[in-house]
Amino acid sequence: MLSRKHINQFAIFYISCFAISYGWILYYGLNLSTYNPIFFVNKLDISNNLLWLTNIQNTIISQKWICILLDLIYGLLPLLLLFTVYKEKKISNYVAIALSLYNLMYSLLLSSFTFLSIHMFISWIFIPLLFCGQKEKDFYYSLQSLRIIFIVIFFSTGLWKIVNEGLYNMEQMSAILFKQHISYISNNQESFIGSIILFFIKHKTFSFALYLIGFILEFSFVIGLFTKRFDKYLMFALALFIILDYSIMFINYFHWLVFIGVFYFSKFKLSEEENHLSS
Amino acid sequence: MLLKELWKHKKFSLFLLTMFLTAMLFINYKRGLVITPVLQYGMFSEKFQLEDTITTYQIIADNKQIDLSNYSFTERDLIITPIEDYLKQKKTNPAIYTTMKPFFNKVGLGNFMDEVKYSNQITEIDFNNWYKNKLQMLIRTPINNLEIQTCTYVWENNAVKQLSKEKTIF
Repeated sequence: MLSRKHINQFAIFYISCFAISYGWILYYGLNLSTYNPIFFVNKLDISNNLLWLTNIQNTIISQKWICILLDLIYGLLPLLLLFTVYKEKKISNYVAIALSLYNLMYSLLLSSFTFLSIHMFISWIFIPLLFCGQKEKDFYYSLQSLRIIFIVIFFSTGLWKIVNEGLYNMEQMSAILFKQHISYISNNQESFIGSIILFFIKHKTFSFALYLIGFILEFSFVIGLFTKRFDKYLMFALALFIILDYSIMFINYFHWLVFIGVFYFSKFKLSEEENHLSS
Repeated sequence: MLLKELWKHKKFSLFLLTMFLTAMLFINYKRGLVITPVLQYGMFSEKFQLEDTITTYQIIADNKQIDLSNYSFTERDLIITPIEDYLKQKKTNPAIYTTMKPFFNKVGLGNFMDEVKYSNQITEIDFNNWYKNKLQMLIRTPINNLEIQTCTYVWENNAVKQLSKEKTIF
């Protein structure tokens, strides 16, 4: 049965994952104050273009103290949420919404100033919303809703590979690896990593098998729309996908590992009492 | 069924979930515009061909080429992508402003959409100095003379073939 203990456990898990993610950003100097951006790249994103109306992008470029302030809030606001959730304060609802909106803004900024993709930040936009509401019932239904949202997102990555016909192209993965790693293999063909990359580019069947594995991992999430019975396998599939993405493509999607918690905690059912009270 | 349960117990969650799923369907069907956090997840789904010509950059610091194999994946991105992005924003920022302006006009926000806000004001010298500083910190060596070369490559006869190499002029 879902209890307060589980909500607190999830909050700790979320903060730990966030700390690793932000630690990685800080280590590589990708936070605003260290990166010290002087230009931004706009995107066909309504949210981005709405944010630009405030001119925050040019303020960040010209005022260093704004960058420091934004970095500090980004790091400290999750701790405030953890505190209010643990203490069962009513204000945690507002902190959760504020954190989600703040993370949305910070992600839009970071993905416009640096090479970091906006996609990797969706976890930090959605997860805080789980802590809106004081009761177990609120957490339960938010968790079930987020589980569906993530399944749709992950399944859609597989679906796009069918729609855009990447899945029907035998040299797809070889060509992707060539494009993705050209700056590395153009000068380091003899190195250990360089020779592995070249092996997969040369052997289209082997590399296509990797693409197919990625597709199967993504597409298999569709089962989660109908049953929770296979959630433990989906958790494994997500972790495997993230590890493969990092090892083969050199793309860091560790920021999505927190979604494993969504699948793990969604197995707990509401107590009869909670169900009765909410009816 | 979850939707039925949400209708009974938590209508606000049902509203948010339905909104997200509808927006996700719409954005994926229309292709193009997105509204974060509703995004398209079609990375690496379009067809890639080995005969495609690929462009990348070589960085020459004090007459010595920077060997990217000495750096982590993320550091390599930190070295290469600022150049790509700087060149990209020159074209994309004005083009996106032109695309978004009619949409913002329709919703009554067009008057607030000042073109200066949507474009970068930096010069090439600003970028060169900024990039040089970033690079010096990354490679932990002072740089006096920096040169960036644009190189094009193609996969031919089972090997990487360089097609061109020229000094990058921003």
